[in-house]
Amino acid sequence: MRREALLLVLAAATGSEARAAARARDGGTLRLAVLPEVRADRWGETPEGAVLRALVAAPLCRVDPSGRVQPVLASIQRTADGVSVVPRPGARFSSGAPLAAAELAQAWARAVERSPAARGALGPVRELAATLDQQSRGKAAALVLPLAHPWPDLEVSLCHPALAPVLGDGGGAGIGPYTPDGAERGRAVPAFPEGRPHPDGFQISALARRAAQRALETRSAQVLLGDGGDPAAPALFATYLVSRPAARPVVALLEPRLDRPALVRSFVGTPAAAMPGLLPPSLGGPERPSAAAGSPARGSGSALLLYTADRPAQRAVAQRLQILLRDAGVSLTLGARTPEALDRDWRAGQGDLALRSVLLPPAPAAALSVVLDLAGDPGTSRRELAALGALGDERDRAARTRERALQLAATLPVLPLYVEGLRARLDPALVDMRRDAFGLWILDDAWWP
Amino acid sequence: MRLRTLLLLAFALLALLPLAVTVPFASRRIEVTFSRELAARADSAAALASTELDRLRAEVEQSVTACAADPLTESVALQLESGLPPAADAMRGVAEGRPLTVLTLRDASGVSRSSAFLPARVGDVEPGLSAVRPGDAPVVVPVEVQNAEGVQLRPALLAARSVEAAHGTATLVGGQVLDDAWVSRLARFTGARVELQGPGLASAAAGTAEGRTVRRALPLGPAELTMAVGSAAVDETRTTLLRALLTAGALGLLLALVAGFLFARGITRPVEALTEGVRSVAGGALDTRVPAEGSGEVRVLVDAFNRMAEDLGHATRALRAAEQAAAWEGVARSLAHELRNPLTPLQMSLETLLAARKARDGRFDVLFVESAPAMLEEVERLRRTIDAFARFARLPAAQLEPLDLTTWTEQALGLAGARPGVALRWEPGPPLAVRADRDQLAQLLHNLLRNAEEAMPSGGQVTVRTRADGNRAVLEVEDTGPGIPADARARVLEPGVTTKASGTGLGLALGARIAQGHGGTLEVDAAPGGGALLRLRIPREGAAG
Repeated sequence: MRREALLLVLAAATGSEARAAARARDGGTLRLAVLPEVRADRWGETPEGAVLRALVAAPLCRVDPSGRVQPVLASIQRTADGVSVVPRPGARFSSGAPLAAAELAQAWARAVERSPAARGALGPVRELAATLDQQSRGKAAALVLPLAHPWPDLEVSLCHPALAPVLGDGGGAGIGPYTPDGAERGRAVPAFPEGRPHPDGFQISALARRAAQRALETRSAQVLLGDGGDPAAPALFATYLVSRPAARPVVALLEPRLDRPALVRSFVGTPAAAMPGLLPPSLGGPERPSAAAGSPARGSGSALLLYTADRPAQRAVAQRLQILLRDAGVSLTLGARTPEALDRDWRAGQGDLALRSVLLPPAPAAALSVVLDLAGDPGTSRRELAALGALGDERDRAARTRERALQLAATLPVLPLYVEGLRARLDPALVDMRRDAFGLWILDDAWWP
Repeated sequence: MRLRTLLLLAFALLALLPLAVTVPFASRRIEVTFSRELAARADSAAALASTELDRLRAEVEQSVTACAADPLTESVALQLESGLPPAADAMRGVAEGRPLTVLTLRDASGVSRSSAFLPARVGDVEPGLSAVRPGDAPVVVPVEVQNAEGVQLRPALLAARSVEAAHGTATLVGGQVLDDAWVSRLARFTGARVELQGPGLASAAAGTAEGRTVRRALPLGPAELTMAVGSAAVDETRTTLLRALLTAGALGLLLALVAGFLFARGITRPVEALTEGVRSVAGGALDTRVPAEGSGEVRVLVDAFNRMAEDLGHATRALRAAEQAAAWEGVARSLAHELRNPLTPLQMSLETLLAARKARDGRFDVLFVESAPAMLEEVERLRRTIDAFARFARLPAAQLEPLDLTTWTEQALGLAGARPGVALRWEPGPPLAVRADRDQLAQLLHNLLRNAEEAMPSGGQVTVRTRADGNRAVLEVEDTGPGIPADARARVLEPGVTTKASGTGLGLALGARIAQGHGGTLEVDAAPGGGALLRLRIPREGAAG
């Protein structure tokens, strides 16, 4: 653990200078065509939304495809009983205010109120709410997070886009390679800790699917967010059907009728895959159901399913579930919510079922932490995470996590459905493009001849 | 019942009779007419609905044919067998801008592969669509309609067309769901209440049909379309008409009552006046006249009555004058008789004395002494007679006061006593409250007792009794004398009539006048023992009747 922390410090000190030297040239405006549902993702909870949002609100750190954590806005140092998050000197909000431990604590306190990914990522922190509350009122340079138990994957979790520090509740003012210049434009930030981005700025156009495709074909846009995608890229945007204990019979009626591949094929679209287990295949989860779910039976009654209105795939799946449950004799009412309202209402006890989509961290144990938060059982979560965190070896921990995920699938009120990747297309002329371990494009390195 | 009331009732009956005959008849006629109107409206609504369905069939057929020929449909169909299946809602682009609410592309096995309106069914054999065959005329089948609240089965008018796919033929099924919006449009179009329902189908209804309804049903495959028109408007019109009729009837009845009252009053007032006049004349008011009102027979009757009353008054006054003349004749005769009787001996005594004086008869003094007392006696007799007539003539009006006739009679008898040889017997009756003039009553009792004593010169018994006879108090004086002959009983109460050798004949006449002044009568009867029985009847105070 001490060696990893040292590597992080070194990377933080030398990363930006090394990449800056490799850049071919600066200049130009990066033009992005985005579909309406991407534009509506204010907090960057979908992969496409996260890519777009990272332009002005970068995450705390990045996990590269090999699993290495690279600091962006802060370095993460292990301490005796947890970690210390130390903001980097150049990390300043667009207002000029530097990122300090108090602002970070406040931003995360707000994030855990609206995002299961944020709650899952910070799940192992001891007395999370009190810790954040205490440090949000201090003036310490570093944010100290004591852990309830050993948790080697905390660094990966802290790089989650949901924990990108922002000021206030508007979902806007963060610290990114660009600073907003109106609602649709941004200007490059020369003092960004990772170095100045290649383009001088970016411009966003919200277009319908056909218009966006046309814009990419005619090179009016260089990046299309919301359409297309690489099936080979990591797919970590997982969707689960969570249920109340009273609604478990409804889930039991649904499960035998559920054809996940057909669901993905007809209603979700690419890049997406069926997810029969709690962990997606890209994290070693099963690709096929482990056993037959039983013969379809008929029941009766009614239930309320909450889903996120702004996500077309989720709406289509919700309607498909409504049809399947009707065939099973259950009348399903659909309740559309915004993402924040869905999280708030579900935690307040509304609804019998809910479709929850969450971008999982690119580490099995960290991902399971998020899934356990969705299950809403803090006791099980604490117990499982403590056991997994005790495994110091990454391979052993991953294997044990997959094993527990298979076992927990039978008991947790969380029915895995499918997992999606980033829906994005790039102008082939763009060079030097790279993805992180979440499968998200990093656009501030983009340049074109 | 009074004549006026009878006339009023007759008028009211006459006014109500036409109403009672007219209203049911008119109501029935209105009912029949409006029922026909209602049925015609229902038939019209059904005809309009049929027309609308025909139009919809043509529209669906045309739209589905156009969709089948759409290049986008062909493109989606070609994807069916490719490795990249079409999106579940790929047909949405085909349906855009077309009047369709169902559009599904099914593969050769009947599985829904893309649907514009129910993509959630993609991958399944959509129930209901199998009954729609390519090329057939549009048919109504149940289809699933999905919304946030759930999934419902609704009837839909669907047509199917074949579409060439990569390996075989796909089927495009499209049409319009006969949903709430369509039913509402149809209700507005036809002006009727429209209901669409069928077993297992979500029912839809729109429009209103209040009151009695007339329905027409159109079978639509698994559903039934019902057009209902209500009688509310018709009922309201009918009620308004009937109300107007009844109001006119009530007004007529009121006018008839007023006219009847005025008419009855015109007729009955002279009759009532005539009746009152008859009563007055019967009561003795012979000068009563009825005001000359009315006309025709009633006027003739009133005039005749007035003439009759006038004639009766004249006749009564003439009779009364004759009676008075007769009475005065009797009084004069009696007075002449009474005066003549003492005058003759008086004349003879005076002529004897004058002759003796002229003849210088020495017995003159003796004769004078002997004659003078007799002459004085005759003069005294003359004076008494004159006094009796004077009392009869001066009898004042009775001063009535309350008294008990029995007690008063007992006290009066105690003071009166009887002459020697005559026994007075008192038979008191119950207390008899009367109003009487004590002095006149004492005069009457005195006259009756004296009459009885004079009827028994050789003595006898006088019985005095009081008794009640209905609302009359009776005082009887009965003697044991020879009695009064039956033929003389009617006249002994007239002045100057007497059955005795001596007497003025005024005692009982005076008694009769006193009885009359007390509102009573004095009756002459025969006593059971043969004597005379004189009976006074006067009203009892406080007695009914």
